[in-house]
Amino acid sequence: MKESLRAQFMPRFLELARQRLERGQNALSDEPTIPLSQLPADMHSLAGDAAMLGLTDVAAAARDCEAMARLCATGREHGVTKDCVDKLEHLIRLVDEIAAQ
Amino acid sequence: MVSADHEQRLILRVDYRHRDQDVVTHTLTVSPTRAGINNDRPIPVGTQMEVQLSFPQYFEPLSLQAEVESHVAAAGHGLPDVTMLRFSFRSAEEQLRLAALCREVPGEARLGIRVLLVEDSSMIREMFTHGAEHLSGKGKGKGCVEVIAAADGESAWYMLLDEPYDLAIVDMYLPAMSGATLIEKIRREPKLASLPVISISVGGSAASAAMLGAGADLFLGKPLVLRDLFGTIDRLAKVATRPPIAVSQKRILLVDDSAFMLEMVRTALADRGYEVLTANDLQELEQHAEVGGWNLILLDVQMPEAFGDDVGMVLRAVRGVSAPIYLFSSLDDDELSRRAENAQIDGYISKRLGVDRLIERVGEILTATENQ
Repeated sequence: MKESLRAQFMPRFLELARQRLERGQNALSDEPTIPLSQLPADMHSLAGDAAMLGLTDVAAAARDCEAMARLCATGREHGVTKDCVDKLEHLIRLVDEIAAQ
Repeated sequence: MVSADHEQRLILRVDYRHRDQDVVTHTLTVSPTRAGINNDRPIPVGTQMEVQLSFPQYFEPLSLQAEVESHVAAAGHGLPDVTMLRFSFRSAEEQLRLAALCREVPGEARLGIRVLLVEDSSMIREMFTHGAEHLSGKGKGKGCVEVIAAADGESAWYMLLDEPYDLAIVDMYLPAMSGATLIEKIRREPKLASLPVISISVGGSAASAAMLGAGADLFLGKPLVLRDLFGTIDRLAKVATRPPIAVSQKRILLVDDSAFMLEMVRTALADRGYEVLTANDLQELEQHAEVGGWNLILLDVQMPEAFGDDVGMVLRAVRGVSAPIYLFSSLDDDELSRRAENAQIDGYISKRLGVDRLIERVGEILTATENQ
């Protein structure tokens, strides 16, 4: 991918990614104000954006999170929710690493 | 100067060789048998020479035998002396090509031509805009010439990279970046290298040499006869032997509920010379669908109002859209394949493979469609 294109769109990608991840943290928290059903959609969009920018690790992590989030959304089993939180936190770390570069 | 029957005030590039020197100038009038050329060189009456008439991208070079018939003094202050050439033709085809150019073509231009004017004088920019609207046929129907203006070279450069143009008119004396520098940059950029460029200036033969040396296709001295320039463009739009760049561009419609995705993909594809329109929702899609003329339609799948495969099905089966329709999504391949097949559309492109693969696939699809 052209560096100029990546440079042009990276700031907006990071901004959107953070918004989606914050919504995800909210949805998985003990007192959510955002429905859990929003999480799979946000992760799906994040995976798409990341893939287009060539951020394959982020895209793969977002897809994992999306898959887990779909399970979460069907019922709040503690184990599944915990896995979802872990995957979301992994994704947050990846995004933070990219932002720091 | 009194114009003869069928003599048209057309501006074409003229190349000829005189006294071991290559000369580039332009016509002021053209008829099926003669041309008046802008000329500051004394060429004896009766001189026989070979000339080439052309207009970049719109009129392929036509080589003709010519004889210097006469010299005509300038018709007014600021206007050039004119050398009249009489042509002799080696084939009927040569004669027909020139005659076709001189024939009045009724009706509207077949297409629009986007012109980027790079000129720091606001008065001249307004003259061009006015000229485009009132002299070239715009406003009388489908229209011909759209003039978009830039006040300096740097702005013009980014405009050229961002949007497609059919022609650039570049003043020599610009702030910060000179017209010659801008033209050199255009010629070095692969995406823009073949863009027709007309240079304009008050500078005379020195300016002409500088601008042509930088890569301009044509040099016109100021003051310009705008009616002649826009009349030429209008005529060429009707009889062009090669379609303007914008017509040969492929048009892609991209539908996605993500404004970010739309902008990123639009930028990446436009960078490769495609014309891309985007629809963020079904209402925008409806507006674009009315226009039509698409070479490719890309549909995201998971959208708030409808799934992309259902939209594709309606476009194909109900609206009768014949352009290739592809799903464009980060769903896994098996699901995309199934959805495309069920919707009876042409296939899918996975977002998972990134922008580079998208561009490759778009190229493959459009080439395959063209070769059918």
